[in-house]
Amino acid sequence: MDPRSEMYKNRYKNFILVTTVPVFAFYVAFMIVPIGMSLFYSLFDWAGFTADMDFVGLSNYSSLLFKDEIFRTTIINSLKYVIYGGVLIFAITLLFTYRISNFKSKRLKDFIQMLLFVPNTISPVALGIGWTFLLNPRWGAVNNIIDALGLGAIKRPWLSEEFIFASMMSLLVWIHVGFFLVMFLAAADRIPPSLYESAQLDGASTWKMFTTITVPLVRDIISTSVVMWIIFSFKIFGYIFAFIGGAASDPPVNIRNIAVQLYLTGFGKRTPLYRLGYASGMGIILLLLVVLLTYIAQRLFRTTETLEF
Amino acid sequence: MRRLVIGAVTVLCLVMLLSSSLLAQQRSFTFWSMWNEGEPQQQVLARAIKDFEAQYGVKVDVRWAGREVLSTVRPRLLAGENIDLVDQNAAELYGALVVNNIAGAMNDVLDMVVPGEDKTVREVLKPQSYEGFFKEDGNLYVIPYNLISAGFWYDKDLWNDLGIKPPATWTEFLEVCDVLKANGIDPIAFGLLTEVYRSYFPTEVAVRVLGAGALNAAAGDPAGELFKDPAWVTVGDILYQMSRKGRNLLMQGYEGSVYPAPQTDWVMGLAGMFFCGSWIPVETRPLAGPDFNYGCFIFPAIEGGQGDPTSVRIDPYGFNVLAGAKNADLAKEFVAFFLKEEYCRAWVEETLNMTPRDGIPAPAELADLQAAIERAQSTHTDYDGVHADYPGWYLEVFLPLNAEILLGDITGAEYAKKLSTMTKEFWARQ
Repeated sequence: MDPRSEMYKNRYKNFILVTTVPVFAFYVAFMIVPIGMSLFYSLFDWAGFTADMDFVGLSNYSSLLFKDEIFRTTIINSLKYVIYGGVLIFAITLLFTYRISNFKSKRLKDFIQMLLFVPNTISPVALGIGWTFLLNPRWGAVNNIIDALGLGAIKRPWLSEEFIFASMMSLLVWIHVGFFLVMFLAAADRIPPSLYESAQLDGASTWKMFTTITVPLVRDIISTSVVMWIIFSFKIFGYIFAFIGGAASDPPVNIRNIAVQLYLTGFGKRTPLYRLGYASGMGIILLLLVVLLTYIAQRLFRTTETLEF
Repeated sequence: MRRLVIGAVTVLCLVMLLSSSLLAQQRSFTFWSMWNEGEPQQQVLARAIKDFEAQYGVKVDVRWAGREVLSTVRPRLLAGENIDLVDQNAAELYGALVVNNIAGAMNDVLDMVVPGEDKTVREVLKPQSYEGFFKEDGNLYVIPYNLISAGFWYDKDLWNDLGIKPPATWTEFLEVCDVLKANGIDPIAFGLLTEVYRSYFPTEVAVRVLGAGALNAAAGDPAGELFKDPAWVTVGDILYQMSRKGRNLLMQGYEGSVYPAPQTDWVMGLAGMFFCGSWIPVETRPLAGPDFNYGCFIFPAIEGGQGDPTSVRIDPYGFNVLAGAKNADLAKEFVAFFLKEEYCRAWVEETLNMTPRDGIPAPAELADLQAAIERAQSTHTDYDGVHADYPGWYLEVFLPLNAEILLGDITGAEYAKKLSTMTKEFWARQ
């Protein structure tokens, strides 16, 4: 064997080692070890103030899954955020993609894209509080507009327990449509115009072109976006707190997701619970749910075809 | 030259060694505070700390940790870091530190002399500000420096115009509500979804009907038997009266009103009164304007009730010196120092709050509430202590049932029955 080739091979090995080990060490130290520690703490009844920990085995998990109604509600809420939110966000984003990608004027296209993206640049606290002002049952703009349109019969207390989840969802949809639209449009823009031109010559309508050319060719971006949404939705935190007035109160159970419930349980906030062991159990369940849903989403969008254009 | 450099370095090393050993000998303590830098409360405390350091030749290692101070100190305590003094709302101090056996007893501070004065802490503090906080073990775990109370806030000018006065009894209260309604004003500003507001009325009504401590005792009864007392039906009936299906005393849309809408509606004159804490004038003044004439009265007496009609809700903010504190004595000296008249006056004037120290008038906006506190024969704590003692029960039983009764979805009798059964179920789950 050529000794120079052997030398390059060794150097390449060293390069791989030098670049991988720190990343791997970082990953282990800041991901794997904390997950392992959470798993360990979840087996204890522990407030976290002192080293006194009572071993309770799996009883935190049995309480969480079979006895704790509030936690069960937060699991359902989290799934509702993923599923309802996902369906609404991607349906609306695809519709916008369809409309906007057909615009001839690039300036108009950019302007609308920017307009829809703006909520992503504003602080969640400002957005959440602003939304609650709009939805105030008495002097909020939404009910006032409904009144002005003579539709008083459909006026509702939009922030009541009955409607607050839907109101929260409307805020999340408004924010995230703009975010995913940027990704979808960028993906749609890379599709060669020749494909649309051929389809047009064959007499295809714009809707037909959208469903048979655009959507299949941005499938990889849709798949990535769905996974991102699953992770985003489980991590929604600031919006939920801001929606109820920030520090003034714990968010109502109807809009809490697992992340918020974990924080309230482990870190006290308004009600001094400080159940760190129990909250660690919530963290592990949250992790498993995210992994499971991400796996399902990837399976759903899996394709053996390689897109080349 | 070389000798000169070696000599200079040696002298420098000796000076550094000497100064570090002197610093090590200097007495000090660590204080983790709930205030943020720049807040008026922080500024008064910081001034007192500076004076304390100068007068005692000590060092106070202070961290302005903000409202999440107890969560912030937790990992540090766990890591073995010495933290001597913390401050927070009493309910939170009890819920976090006393429950976990890391709070230090503060009884001895009551007998310490306030520096520069010939009175003890016990003699300068209003008894109402701390007496309700002794635990069963006979220990007091908080020394208050900020006196928070609660009552019904109203606009004195508006009420004068309408010819109504603060009611003393529930019957008078209902009459006042009728006058307000007749004038197109919703009687009570309220937001059901703001959980801290949701439990105000159930607690106050329970205190008036059954007396302070009854709610706490019933919440801690694993059999749920104490809620079978017929007086709980009375509590439920009064709450039902307030709901939209009863006499509809709560403001329009209260089921979907969240912070800060209730106080905003009250200041705007859409509602006639608002039950909340003594921070309300500070919070609403920018919207209310300088001429708004704040009045306040405590929850009215309920005819036939066994509770003391003068009992006021006391929810102080105060200090705790942790059980394992290495510099507990010095930290306690500071606690007594901060109760000097000059700082208590500054607290009132600069933060617009009440001080627990006797003889210092509250800001004009809080004068009514201070008078009520001074008249009080007894006190009750934040949510009758259930928030701190039984947080799980508070979240899983009390909050949801309070929503149901205040929406009028259940009757008074159903409220009492559900309190009993859900309390039993709650304790069975533990």
